[in-house]
Amino acid sequence: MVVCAPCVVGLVRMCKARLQGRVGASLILPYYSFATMLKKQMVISSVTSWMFRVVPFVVLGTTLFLVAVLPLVSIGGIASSLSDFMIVAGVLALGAIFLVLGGLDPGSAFGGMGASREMTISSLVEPAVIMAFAAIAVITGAHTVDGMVALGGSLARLPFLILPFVALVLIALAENARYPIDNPATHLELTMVHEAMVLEYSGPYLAMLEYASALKLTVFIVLLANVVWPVGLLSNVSSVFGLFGVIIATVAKLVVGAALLALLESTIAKMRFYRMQEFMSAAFFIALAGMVVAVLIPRV
Amino acid sequence: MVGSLINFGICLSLIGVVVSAFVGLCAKRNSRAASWVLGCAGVFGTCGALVFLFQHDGGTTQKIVGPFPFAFGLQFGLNTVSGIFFGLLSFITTVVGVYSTAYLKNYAQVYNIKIVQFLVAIFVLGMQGVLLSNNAFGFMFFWEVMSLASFFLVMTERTHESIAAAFQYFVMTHLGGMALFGGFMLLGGGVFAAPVVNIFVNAGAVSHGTYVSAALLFLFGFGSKAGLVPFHVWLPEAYPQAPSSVSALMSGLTPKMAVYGFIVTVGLAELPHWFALTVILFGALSAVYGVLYSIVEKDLKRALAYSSIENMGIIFMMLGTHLYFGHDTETAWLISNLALLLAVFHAINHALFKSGLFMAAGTIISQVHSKSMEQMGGLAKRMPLFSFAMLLLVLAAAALPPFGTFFSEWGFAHALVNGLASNAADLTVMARGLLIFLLAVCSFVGGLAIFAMVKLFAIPMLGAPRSEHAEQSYRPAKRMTFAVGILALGVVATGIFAHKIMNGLVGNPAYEVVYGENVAHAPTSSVNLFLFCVIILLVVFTAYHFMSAKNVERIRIYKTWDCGQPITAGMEYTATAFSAPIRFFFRALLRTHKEVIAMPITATNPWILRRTFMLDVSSVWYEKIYRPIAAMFALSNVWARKIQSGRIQFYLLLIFVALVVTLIVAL
Repeated sequence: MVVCAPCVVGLVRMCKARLQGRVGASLILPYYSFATMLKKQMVISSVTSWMFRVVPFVVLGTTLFLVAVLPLVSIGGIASSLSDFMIVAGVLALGAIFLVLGGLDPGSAFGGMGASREMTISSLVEPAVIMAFAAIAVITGAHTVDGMVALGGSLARLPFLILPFVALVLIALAENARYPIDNPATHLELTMVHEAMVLEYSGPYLAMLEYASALKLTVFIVLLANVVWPVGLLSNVSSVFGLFGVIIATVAKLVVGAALLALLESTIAKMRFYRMQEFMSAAFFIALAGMVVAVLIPRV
Repeated sequence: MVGSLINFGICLSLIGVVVSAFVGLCAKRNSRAASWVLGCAGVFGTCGALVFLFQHDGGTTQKIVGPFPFAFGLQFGLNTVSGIFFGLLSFITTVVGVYSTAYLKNYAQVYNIKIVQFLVAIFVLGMQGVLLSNNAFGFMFFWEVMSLASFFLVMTERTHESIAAAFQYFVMTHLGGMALFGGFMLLGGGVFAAPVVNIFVNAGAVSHGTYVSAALLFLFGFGSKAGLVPFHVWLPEAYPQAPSSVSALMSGLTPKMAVYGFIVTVGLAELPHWFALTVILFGALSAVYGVLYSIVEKDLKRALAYSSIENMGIIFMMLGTHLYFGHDTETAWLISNLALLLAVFHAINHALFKSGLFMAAGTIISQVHSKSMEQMGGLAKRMPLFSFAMLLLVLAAAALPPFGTFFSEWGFAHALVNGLASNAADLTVMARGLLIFLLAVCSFVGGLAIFAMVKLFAIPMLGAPRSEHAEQSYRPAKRMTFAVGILALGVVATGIFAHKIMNGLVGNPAYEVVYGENVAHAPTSSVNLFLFCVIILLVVFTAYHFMSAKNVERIRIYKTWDCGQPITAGMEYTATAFSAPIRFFFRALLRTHKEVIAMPITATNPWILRRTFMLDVSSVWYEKIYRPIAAMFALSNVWARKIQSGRIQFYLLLIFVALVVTLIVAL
């Protein structure tokens, strides 16, 4: 999982390029980019304080927390009891906050704009996150995301989970700075959210931040795939065969997820920022509808 | 033995506060000895309260001093709830006392710090009395002492705004006090010796109308003190005007007195559902409006005051939930008890972080000489340790894991989800709808609270300094950093030991059901979460050091990237700009008014413009509700003045009419 993340980013880029009629960069180009960045000298602004240096560690730490805790390739791991949905929402917010603080520290207008927008998006997406996961929790009776997937909170078994699932897809787009919220390829004013906050970072710090966002994308793709159909999870395999099966299933999930994401990004346009509340309200009300459905259906 | 230890501690604390008041009056000119004495008194009180809480087994009241026959049988004592709040009060008094010794030194030339210290001691004495009193007389007497002392404290700086804010506070607090008095009289049968705790249960044979009216009066009285919308208008005016150590005490502790009063009177009563829904509605309005105004404010202390309103709204929503779900079914009982427990825990955490943030704001303002966030900036570079403590407090205020405030929101969300997932027979559809509404409002407010708190930290602390004073600021006195740091550690500690504290608060094993009864997994615990976060951070740190090459010239310090054009501090994002998206998205609720007028300077060239910008962010409640009510009163006064026509024949006629009417009524 940890190793695949840059590959996923490369995969999404390649699919988008192919859909646009180009050949596109190589799949493993992100690996080379990260290796280069790790060797470079860092330029740090004289205006910044200790906060600037702490941010990459905390952001990478929160992403690693999610990797360790969420049910991606296994259920019932050591730390899976910490994957309570409120904790997950809180940790996502924590990562976003530190990125925002890192964007504001250098005192440039770029960072300020990215920070202001990212903070707005993050604080407006949080009610949707909580409501969507709460709806799934009400149906499955588990409070941790791990438990939700384990107890059959998936579209394959409970098709009316489609509403919280759609909300989760919208949330995933918002959290990973993808269309229609943000364009990860540019930092022009129209799309100035994530890229603007990391503008001042360079060298190893930039490598950490970019890697964290690639990892987050991977985590969300696999999590959503597990919500659709939890196949290939390590809880009940006992042989090398099973291990192979898990690896193949994860790779398949990543490939399909990346291709679908590229298709989505090529089909829709990025939304104007001042219409962002429509997107967030849509996510929240879909999650709310999912919650109402969860409460009104008889217990299965 | 233990009992007398507790009595000893509490009595010493009371005596210490009185001594502090005397020292404040009689000491030398610029002495801060009174604050030191106050700090010591706080230590005694904290120890006494902690011993009480650890050996207490619920239900009984520890008698301390009294009964005093001249005060209608007043007896000082502690029960579980008042013990918790007394410990909180003493702890924060200690910290504020230590802080004041350094803080007041800066203002020795501006106002008379002896009188401030005297008034602070009287204020603390009032709050202690409110918590310790067991009858209505004592409660109201000490409530008045608290209100009067804080009225004078708000006026300390003697500016026009301070005096106006103080009078607004005076009017609102006395209206509230009269409402409380009325409630006590209605239920106590007109007797001063009516007991405070369980007053509804012990009220005996009063009619249902009296019962409900008393509950409404208590709601108004305690709600206006706590800052519930729509009784909150005084709060954002009064809290910023007081000196910051006083604001810390006022905002951290005074609303908790109101919460305590609400819990022991209305909280234990059996009231109709519409009353509970009213409490929840007021709480929800306070939370939403509090957080929205906190986001758009650029005055640091006003933003903190609005954030207090938001947190009080959350607490009252939890208290309203407790009132709504009575004892009918097992599920309802579980939800209602849990809501009460979480409200108390949230109150504890809020007192800790809000007092800390106000003290931090005081330190910043004393150096930048301005309350506006637009004049601050770049302070983290100049005050590293202090800014780290403030960061911890801000993260706690935003209710993030692994800090304490997160666990009360977490517990509340879990209680709601468990209620929604319960069997169909347990809760009515309306109750489930209420749970969904509460979950929606709490998550919405939680998200926006993160925004408000991040802005409150980021604009003063990060970026380039936006004014001369900010650029020349330096590390604050060690005592001030220490005070803020202790409260930051306190909030981290409540986060680490959250489950132990909550289990200890009521000690009912039924609560274990909520916290982590997952299928075949160990129950989550707050200690696990904290340790896990620490482990992850260590892993990241070591990975970084492994992966980065052994290059000596790792870092080059240079200017912020500016495209070749030198950038100044005026070009970075301001507080107003940072909150602009929220201001835009919620303009229907906030009713902000923005005008940009662009006029060409010369007739021949339409491209050279003079721009005038005006942004008006005023409180909707003030403009649309309080102003019209005040205008109506003024108008009725004008009409009433027509009686005073100045002609003596008219006055004689009035006397005659009054006499006739009195005879008719009496006979």
